[in-house]
Amino acid sequence: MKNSINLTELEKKAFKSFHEDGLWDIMIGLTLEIFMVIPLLLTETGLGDFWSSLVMLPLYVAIFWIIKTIRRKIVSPRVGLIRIGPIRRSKIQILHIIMIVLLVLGVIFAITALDLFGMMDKQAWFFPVFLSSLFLFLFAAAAFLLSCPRFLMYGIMMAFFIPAGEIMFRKSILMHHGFPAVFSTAALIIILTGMIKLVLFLKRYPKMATEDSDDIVRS
Amino acid sequence: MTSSDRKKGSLQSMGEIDRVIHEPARLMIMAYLYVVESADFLFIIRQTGLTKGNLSSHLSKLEAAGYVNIHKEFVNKIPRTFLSLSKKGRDAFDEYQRQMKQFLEKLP
Repeated sequence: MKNSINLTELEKKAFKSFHEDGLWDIMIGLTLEIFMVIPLLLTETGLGDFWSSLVMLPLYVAIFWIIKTIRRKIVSPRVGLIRIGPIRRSKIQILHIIMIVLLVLGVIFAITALDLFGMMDKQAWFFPVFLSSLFLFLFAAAAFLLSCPRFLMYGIMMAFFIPAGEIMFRKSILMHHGFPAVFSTAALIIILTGMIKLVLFLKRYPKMATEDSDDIVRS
Repeated sequence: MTSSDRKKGSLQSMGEIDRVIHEPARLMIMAYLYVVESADFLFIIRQTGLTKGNLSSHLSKLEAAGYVNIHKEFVNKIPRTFLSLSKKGRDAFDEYQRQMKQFLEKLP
């Protein structure tokens, strides 16, 4: 007879109930869309790498603010609020550290690759391979630490798309190392997944009347 | 000690089980509060499927036993009722788990 409560699974269930609204996916997808825009800016406006990225910063902030507002106004009134326990909190901190380290590594490598290989060097496979590995590792870490298996699928998708984009660039089918096509396709898939999850979430958790959702009845 | 004596002993130990926690709805509430730092009233309603009145009744019993802390706070200018396990509640839940595990392990 197995009547014991699996608290690990219960914690995952509680955490996922609070976060399975698709907003992470929408935020990731919108952020990836920005990677599609930056290469286009390089040719259209003549802005350098640094200024192209700087111009995108307000967009990043806007996306973050929009997602936060949706969570506050739409999600929380339907599912409630939790404050996660210490184990999950430390997992999220580890994920933040991984993200920062990978970002720094990515910046260092990008600068080094520009000097060593040149962006237009057709023999430079290191950059797409490094970028694929970076995305795969990041999404795999997120899948494990956030108990969200579909993030691993996103990582595998990026790991295939980036080299595929590079191959099509070298065959002169795509421009900008295939970045616009690769990132916009991946972003579209991820955003659509997020939107489907959001719709399912809203159906699963209809809004309750405030008087029914809060306040203990004291006898 | 014969096997029937052992069985009798383990069944009798069930009499010592914490009945405040042992009720299915309260067990669910305690389990959810155990795995998070705190949760609001709405979250517990959603996860347990209990009605507001039912949940209130069980929370009153858990609060009276000193297992659950209930406090109101404002989140984005909206009052929310937050629930969390007290230290006594966490210890009681740990003890309940230990007793249940011991009891179930002794069953054939």
